[in-house]
Amino acid sequence: MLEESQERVQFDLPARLIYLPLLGDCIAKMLHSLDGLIDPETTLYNIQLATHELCTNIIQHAYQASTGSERIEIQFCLDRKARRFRVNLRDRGRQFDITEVAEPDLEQAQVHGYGLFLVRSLMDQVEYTHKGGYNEWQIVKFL
Amino acid sequence: MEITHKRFNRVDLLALKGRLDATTSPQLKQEIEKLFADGRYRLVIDASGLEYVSSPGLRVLIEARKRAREWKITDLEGGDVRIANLPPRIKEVFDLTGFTSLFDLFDDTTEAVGSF
Repeated sequence: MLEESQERVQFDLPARLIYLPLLGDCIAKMLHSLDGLIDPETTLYNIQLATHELCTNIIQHAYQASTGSERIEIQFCLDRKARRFRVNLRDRGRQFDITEVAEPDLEQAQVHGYGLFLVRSLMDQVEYTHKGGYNEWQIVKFL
Repeated sequence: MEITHKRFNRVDLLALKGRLDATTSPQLKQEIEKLFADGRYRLVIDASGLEYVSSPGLRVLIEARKRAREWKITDLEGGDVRIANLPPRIKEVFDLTGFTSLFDLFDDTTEAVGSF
């Protein structure tokens, strides 16, 4: 049950990169309805980028052996009272071992490992669980 | 994403416009590969028209820089990928994550081209 201060938008998209710009537009519409953000454009950019990174990761890694029918369930929830923006993502791809992803060594200018590092840097909370055959991500930004 | 290429005597300038992400990064990679195949390892990326850089785009830039820097004429002179005019929003993310330390950043393209 949604409280009056909450707004929720859900997508059920084919796991294809071409659909990702839809998500950025939606996040922008939702955030623009909230007054009093200190740096709205940076906050928007950071949430868009973090969401984009996770979706790209799902498409390119979790669904690596694609059959073309894979989907990503996405839910955005803006809580005006708690001043919090939450993103939930769900997919049925390959299980992800979050402990295996090391932070990139910037001294070495390594080529891989930046996606999750970006998400962790840009958002306030990052959680991953695997249950019932689903990968579930929840990322939160306090506004 | 739009890529505009300008060739100078010693340096190549690639001006990027739009989103540098998983969809468009292969296009940039291909453009850089063409320059490398031609023996051109001194690159300046004009980022003023960039709206967005996600990790696949960043990966192309980091990989290109690593390869360019392997090309050396002398110990003091060689290849590199340098970035000019990084938009403030993208620069903030670079600062926050420490990516700023991965590249030589310049405030304008003339300065970046002249730095080689």
